Amino acid sequence: MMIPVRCFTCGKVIGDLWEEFSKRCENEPPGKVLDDLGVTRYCCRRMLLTHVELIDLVSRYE
Amino acid sequence: MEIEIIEQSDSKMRFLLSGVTPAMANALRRALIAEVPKMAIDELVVYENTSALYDEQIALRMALIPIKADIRLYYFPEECRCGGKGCSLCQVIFTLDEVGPKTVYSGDLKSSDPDVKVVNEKIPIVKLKEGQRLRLEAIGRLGIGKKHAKWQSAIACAYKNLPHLSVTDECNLCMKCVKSCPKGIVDEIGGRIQLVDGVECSLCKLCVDTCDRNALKLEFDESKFVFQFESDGSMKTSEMVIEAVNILKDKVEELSKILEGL
Repeated sequence: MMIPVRCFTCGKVIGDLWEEFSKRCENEPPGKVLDDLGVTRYCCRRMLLTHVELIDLVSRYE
Repeated sequence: MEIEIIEQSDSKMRFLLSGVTPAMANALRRALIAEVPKMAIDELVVYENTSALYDEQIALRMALIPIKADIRLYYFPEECRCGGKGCSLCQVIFTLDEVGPKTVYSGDLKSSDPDVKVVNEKIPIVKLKEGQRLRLEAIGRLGIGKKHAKWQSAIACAYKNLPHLSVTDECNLCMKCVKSCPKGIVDEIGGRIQLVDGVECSLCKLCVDTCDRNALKLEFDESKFVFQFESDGSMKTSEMVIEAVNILKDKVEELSKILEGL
């Protein structure tokens, strides 16, 4: 659905990084973007890497 | 007890705590995680929600948004003069009224106290399509991490004992361990293998495993702790440590008072 606000494991706020991350991943390797964004721990990295934005599909319904 | 600061910024802190017992270091860790107060959204009054997310989902997302507030200016609801009913001394009200199509961000929340602000303005709460609307009132209250993770300001708060390598005479300086270290902190100094920077060591023990002669052993200094934690932005790390220590002090004083009365 929407990107989680925080990392499930450590609690770091990652929600605000999603838009920049998904945009930059179109023409940059994701690992490099994550390093640039300062996401160092693997728990936070998987939050962004494995997220599937489904809101556009679901928001047709109330 | 000695503290040597290794790294310090508003969002991350790392220090070497020496001359204390593990109990002391753990008390500090637990105070940081569970006892330091913080402001977080605790209750929502939803007037209209035609978005794709349920009210509860929105409530959880909003609760996790870090809020910067001076915790000394607010009371806990249960300690407030209003008796927990809610007044301007113990709660902050945020209002939100957005109509689609747009993404609602944390920055769209309007606070009743200009000094109480959302830390990250770009956290998406929900994406609204044409005609969808989100209108609500959010009540922020002070709380502690023991009650709910939304009131926990310390992130990745942990410590490790300071490691060092002990090398036996079996070592023939084959340098395999030096090459195996992913952080490049095992080196030969004066004809002896050493762990150059114990603070950076991730305790992977690759150096120990690659040694053919079993000459290496990773040992720990039981009285030295490499302590590190991050802040979610609601408070500076330096303020958090001071707050945690003060809370510990109060608790110990309370205990000694009870013991004296026995």
